[in-house]
Amino acid sequence: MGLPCGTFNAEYREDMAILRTRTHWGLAIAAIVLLFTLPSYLSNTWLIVANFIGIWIVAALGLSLLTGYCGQISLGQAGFMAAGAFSCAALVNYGGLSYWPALIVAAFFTGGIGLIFGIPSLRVKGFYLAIITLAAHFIILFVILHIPALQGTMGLNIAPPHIGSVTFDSHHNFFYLIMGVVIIMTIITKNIVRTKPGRAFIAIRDNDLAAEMMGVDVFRYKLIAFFICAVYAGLAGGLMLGYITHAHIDEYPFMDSVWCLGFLIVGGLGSVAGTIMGVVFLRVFSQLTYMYLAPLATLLMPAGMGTAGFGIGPFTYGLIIILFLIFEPRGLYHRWEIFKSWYRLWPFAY
Amino acid sequence: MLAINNIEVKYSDIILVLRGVSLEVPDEEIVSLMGNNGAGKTTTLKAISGMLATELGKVTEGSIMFNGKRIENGDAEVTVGLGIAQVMEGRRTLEHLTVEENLRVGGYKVSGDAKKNLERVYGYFPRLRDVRNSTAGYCSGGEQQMLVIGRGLMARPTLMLLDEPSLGLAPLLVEEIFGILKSINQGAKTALLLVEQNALAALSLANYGYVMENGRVVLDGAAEKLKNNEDIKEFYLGLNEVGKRKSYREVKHYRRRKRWLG
Amino acid sequence: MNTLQICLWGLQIGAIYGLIALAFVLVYKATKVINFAQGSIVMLTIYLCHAVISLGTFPIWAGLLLSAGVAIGLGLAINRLFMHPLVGQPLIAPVMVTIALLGLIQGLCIMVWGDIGGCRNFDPLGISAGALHIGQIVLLKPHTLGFIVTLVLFGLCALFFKYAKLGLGMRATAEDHQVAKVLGVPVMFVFAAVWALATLISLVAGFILGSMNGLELGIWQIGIKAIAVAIIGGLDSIPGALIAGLMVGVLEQLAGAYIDPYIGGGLMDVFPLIIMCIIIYFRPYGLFGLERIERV
Repeated sequence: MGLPCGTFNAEYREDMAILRTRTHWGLAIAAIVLLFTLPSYLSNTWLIVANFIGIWIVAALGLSLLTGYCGQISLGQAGFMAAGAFSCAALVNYGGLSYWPALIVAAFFTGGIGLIFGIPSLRVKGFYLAIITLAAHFIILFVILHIPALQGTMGLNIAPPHIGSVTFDSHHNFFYLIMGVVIIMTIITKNIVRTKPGRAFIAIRDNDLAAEMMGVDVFRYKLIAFFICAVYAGLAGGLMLGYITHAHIDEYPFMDSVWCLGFLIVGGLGSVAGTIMGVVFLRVFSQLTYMYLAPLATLLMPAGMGTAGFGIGPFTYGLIIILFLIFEPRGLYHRWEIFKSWYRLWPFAY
Repeated sequence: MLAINNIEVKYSDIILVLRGVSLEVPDEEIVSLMGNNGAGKTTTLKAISGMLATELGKVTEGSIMFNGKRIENGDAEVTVGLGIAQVMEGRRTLEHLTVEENLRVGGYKVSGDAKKNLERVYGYFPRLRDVRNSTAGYCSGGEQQMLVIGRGLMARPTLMLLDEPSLGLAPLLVEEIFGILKSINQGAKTALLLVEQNALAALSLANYGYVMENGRVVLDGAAEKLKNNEDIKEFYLGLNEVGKRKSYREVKHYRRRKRWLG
Repeated sequence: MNTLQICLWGLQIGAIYGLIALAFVLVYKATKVINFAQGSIVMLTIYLCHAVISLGTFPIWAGLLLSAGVAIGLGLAINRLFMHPLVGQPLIAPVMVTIALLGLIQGLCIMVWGDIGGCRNFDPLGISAGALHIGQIVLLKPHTLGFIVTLVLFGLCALFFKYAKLGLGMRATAEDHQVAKVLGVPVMFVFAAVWALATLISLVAGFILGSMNGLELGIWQIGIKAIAVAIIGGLDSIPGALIAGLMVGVLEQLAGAYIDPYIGGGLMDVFPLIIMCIIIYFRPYGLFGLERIERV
């Protein structure tokens, strides 16, 4: 990590600090203030976008731990989110729990499901494992659809969650809830990455055989990574449920699993900040596409009934991800780092 | 036939591996290239055959002439067509293909009668004929080495680049293979550029030798002359000044210093 | 419906899975890229074929030839635009590209051929409605055609890889890119050829699928089943793709006939995936795959 000129880490406490200098603190506080006053500047449309960004950040952070740090590609994140949403809804509807404990239990229940699909990592790795997670997505949705109590084709409804007298039933209220969760999860992620499991993940990603030789229990840590990833997904699914107060399998299409991976690529694999950047960039971009490009596409494309607007989203998403892979495989975060070091040294070239 | 003039090779635009290497392989001769690990021997061969590009390497200075044509930074596929066959280090057979299929891949660039070409190779390596239908990956080390040399020969080269053909083989096998190399040189009128760690074997086969160190040629001369060079004796042949094998009982000896600038 | 009938249908469906898996395996073998976009490519080629055929009034064979040309062009374009710039990068990059391509092509198809949920008729050979009756057994014409075409294509592939020079070059490339290059095999050309071949096979598979069920925007999902089939057979085994395809087809149809009524349907869609998960656990390299030994 590059430190500003004249700043050195002389103590462990300093070395471990996330916010190292006074400027960092200032910027962080300014960012949080900005974040929490955001709803007063944003129109309703963009507030919805911001809320979905928050939910996807939670899901993508989990995937970032599994894929970006532990190197296990997963194509099942949306499936795990569905599992989280439905288990949460079932706990509320049938278990008599209120939303909050149900959310926590559902997240850990989803983590358990993640463990089941992580077990093959004992035998297979790399892209074979990616295909297992792909299967996980479809198998989870199949199971949800076939449990009568979950009313797969109809979906489950819940009442909007509340704390005391505050009910999170508007975009505005929910924004604060989601951003709170996002901040907590970001800090947790940042700390997982910097501690023993995080270092084990990175060792496994870089060379799993070598990691095993050095005494990292590879299978155990891979399972932990799967578990954490699924817990995040379950949490994101539960939040999604709380936000739209409805759980339905159509909310979790396979392509969302793919885009979740896309967030990481665009942002930069193996970085927490990059993950957040990726989600924000792609979601904002897709909203802009939807607002400005879709009508254009509908005009230009021959398809009747105005379906071109539905196609432009996946098309541009795919295109952006491919362009990033070809031209900036290290993602937005790398650009950001370059910018930071340039700024730090300005006005000198290097 | 082949003339390398003062080439400089960089990997990833940053790692300078060869710094001014010049060497020459005359028609129908055997030239051997010796040196420690990391001296740049294999890189030199790759620079000739055009395989540098696969490892992000590039010839940045100098030229490589083959029969009056510049071939540095060429495409490996084209270079083979010109008549240069490289036999890579470490017996890289195509494991799941049979021996004969391996040989046929070697003749990919040669149009004309593949049968005759195969027979010619079997002529040099009778042992390959016996195992022609077995999977290459399951052949013994010696057979695999013969296979990769034979595979190079299938391209009907006028110059063969051999990268450590003796690596990990029993002395008797080394002798056999070097014998075959000699007959290929004489029979097929193929010039050989031989990279070897086994300096004694290499010098007894070659007409001329080059010694490389740290990406430079530090010594060259006719094979006979090199064999009698004190430095070569000490550092590559493992003999001391009197010409006996070095005794490790007398550990305490004054190490001879290399008489060249590394 | 008797069991024999179901098994025969399963074989016919399975042949199509095998065919798509073949396209998948070809790309994997030569380039080591797992082509997640395989299903989308099948969809795109068949929609393009539909577009070409309905362009004007020319004989059916000309339309087919033209669409074969378009399919090959598509393969070459994918290779040149998306795969070629990533040669030499870690393998994860081109694989991610195929994942993104999955979405890109789907989006493209939705934009151009729209009307979600709608189904277009596609029956240039006029066989969709036909059936063959052999005793008690009924075989639908497009399915039977697909079965025969698949067997022929697999046979041709086997011959091509055994005897043709380019086929040999492809196998050499599949083994070791560097060695192939040093022996004079034009590796970049082989990559392009493999992609062209894969899209051509996708077109054939798509053509038969279209003749079976018409065109719709969910066709790409068959790619997921094909991936499962390819994994079951072993990613780098061509006969494995056929055998696994037939096996999965039969098992899937049997499951659909005998288990589905008890659980309320839909099992056929995930059954190949479940089989894959089980098989991959016990045989990580599939039934016929080549095991690679890794060292630190």
